[in-house]
Amino acid sequence: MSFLARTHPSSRRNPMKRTIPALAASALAVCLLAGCGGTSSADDAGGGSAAGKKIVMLLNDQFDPYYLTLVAGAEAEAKKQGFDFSWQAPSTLDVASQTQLLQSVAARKPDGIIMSALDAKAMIAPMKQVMAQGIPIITVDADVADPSARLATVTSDGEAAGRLAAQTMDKLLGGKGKVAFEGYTPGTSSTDARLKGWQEGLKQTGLEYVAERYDATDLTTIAGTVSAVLKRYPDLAGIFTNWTNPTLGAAQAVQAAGRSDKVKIVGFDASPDEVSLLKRGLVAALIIQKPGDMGSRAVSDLAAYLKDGTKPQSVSLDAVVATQENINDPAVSAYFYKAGKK
Amino acid sequence: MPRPQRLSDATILLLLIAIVAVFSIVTPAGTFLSLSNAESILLTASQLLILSCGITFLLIAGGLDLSIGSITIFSAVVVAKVMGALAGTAAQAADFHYPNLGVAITVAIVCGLLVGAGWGAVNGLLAVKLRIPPFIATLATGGIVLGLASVWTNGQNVQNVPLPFQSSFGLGKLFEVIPWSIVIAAVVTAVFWVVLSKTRFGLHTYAMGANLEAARRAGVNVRRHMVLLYVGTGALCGIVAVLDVARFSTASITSHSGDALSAIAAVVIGGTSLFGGRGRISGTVVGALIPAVLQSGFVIMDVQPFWQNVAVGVVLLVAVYVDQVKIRAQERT
Repeated sequence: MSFLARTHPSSRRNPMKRTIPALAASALAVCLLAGCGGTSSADDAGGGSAAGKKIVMLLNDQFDPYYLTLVAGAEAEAKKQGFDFSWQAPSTLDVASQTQLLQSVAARKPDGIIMSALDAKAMIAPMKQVMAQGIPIITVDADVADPSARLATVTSDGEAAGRLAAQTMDKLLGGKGKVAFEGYTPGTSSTDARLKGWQEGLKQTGLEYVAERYDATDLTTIAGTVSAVLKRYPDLAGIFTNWTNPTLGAAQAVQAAGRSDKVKIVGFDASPDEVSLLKRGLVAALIIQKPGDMGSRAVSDLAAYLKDGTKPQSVSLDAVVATQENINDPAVSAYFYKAGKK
Repeated sequence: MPRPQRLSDATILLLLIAIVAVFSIVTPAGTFLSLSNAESILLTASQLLILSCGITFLLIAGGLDLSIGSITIFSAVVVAKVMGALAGTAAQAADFHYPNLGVAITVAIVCGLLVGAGWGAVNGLLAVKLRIPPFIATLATGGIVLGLASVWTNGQNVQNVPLPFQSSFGLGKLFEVIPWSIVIAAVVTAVFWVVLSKTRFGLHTYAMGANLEAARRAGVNVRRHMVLLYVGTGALCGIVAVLDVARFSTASITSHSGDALSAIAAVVIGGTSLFGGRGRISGTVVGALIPAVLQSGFVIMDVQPFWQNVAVGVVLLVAVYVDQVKIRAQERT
């Protein structure tokens, strides 16, 4: 009869008690379920010494359009090179799960690994271990502090992009006014770098930096924070956001406050809904890194290395600024993130 | 049957008033304590409040739902996809032209509510028919539902939500005064309040949580009742999904991940017992407002954002401690 782990009135005090031991097992099961990945076999691709070679990409996030565009770029290049390409993302974003994922991927003996290091120091040892097994690693997006822990790195210079955001804001506001920041909770290298660049860049301008706020990913929470910032600073002139969701949340809050004509938003990334906001003038500019280029560059570097041992050059890609004026310029719109396709 | 108690309602309301008073004093005039800020706070709290109404019923009856955030996301994806697909072709949407707007919005809302209720039914059947403890059942469905939504959308925000839905409803206000989200949250709360405190259904809910076996012997169809509570909670997720799509004009896979725990915290802060049998919607209203008030106050005070989490945690601990003390006092008498 009992469906609530309670059979007798005397046990009614604590229905949770019996479920606790099962929690650990279940959480584990959900983690396994939640882990995600994708594969694309390239059996049909012909020729080339890379054909049939297996490369695996470790991704930090399976939701962020930035990372999905990175995968798309890598996957397209892998197909061209004839690689057998697959990607994996850990179910939780921490060093332990990335290390575990790296080790289990390495155990399957791929010909190369492309990964974004979750921690610049903590990932050095596990990566060196994999390199010592003869599996080359190229880091993308986020590198480690020790260059000998990987073959090469292809990053996108987040700090430069953050400085570019500050310059863009400075131009938009004509060199004066109060500005605020709303972004992702510190601790992730890509978004941290953008914030650092923005902070440094602002020092070169006459803008007054009044508020710096962080939230996780929830749009309602982000909009709530921005609403309060708008309330606190009735003369706020600009907001910089360092990834997709704060850009969307800030645009909503500014609209709800009826201040779209007074507050300029400089957003980050170029997901389709951000581009739509830019088109409609609700976002003044978008700073766009080139994750797609990063992915394809990492794969072609790996291809060259596997072919004849060419040691790739590490590079750092720059960012572009999209505004309403240049939104239709192919040199800019080429970097808008792809929607709905892998 | 232990009756809901007034003590913790009053305590927690006093606490909310004290928080508001402190923020009003320490923030610049016209910032925190203003009508427009009250509106922002209510807007932020409205979604949590709606979800918390369902959780209040479930906790009182001895159930639990950890999957509400995931169900909300899944329903939001359904609402956004259906609305985008029915409103017009992709080419028309690119020009912001939507020939079938009315039909699209109606069908999308109905689909969102049905899908939410459907996942609620799955939870209910797992808990009742298969007798899986709700903690585990809904933890698992939460993972499954979110996973399916991610697979479906490829992890990306859903595009092409017709813009008028946002401009007229998401940003719209009743009589140009009260945002629709707040109106809907108020209506939902009022309905759940009346059902819980004035109807036989509400009485049965308390009875089940207080003593399931006694409720069954008294003739309450406890299995059907419990399934209905899960279905109702799922439907509330559908409502929140509609509001979310209206506000942000997108369905974001990464939103709502903390909703289940936030709602449970709000409900428990509001004096509902985690062990069933006791609780009131009035307490839940206060409990759901506290995080939004703290967020607004801390931001306006320019306090480090992380302190908000600390403050909510402390309030939760105090509320549960008070609850435990009361239970012990009750058992001694």
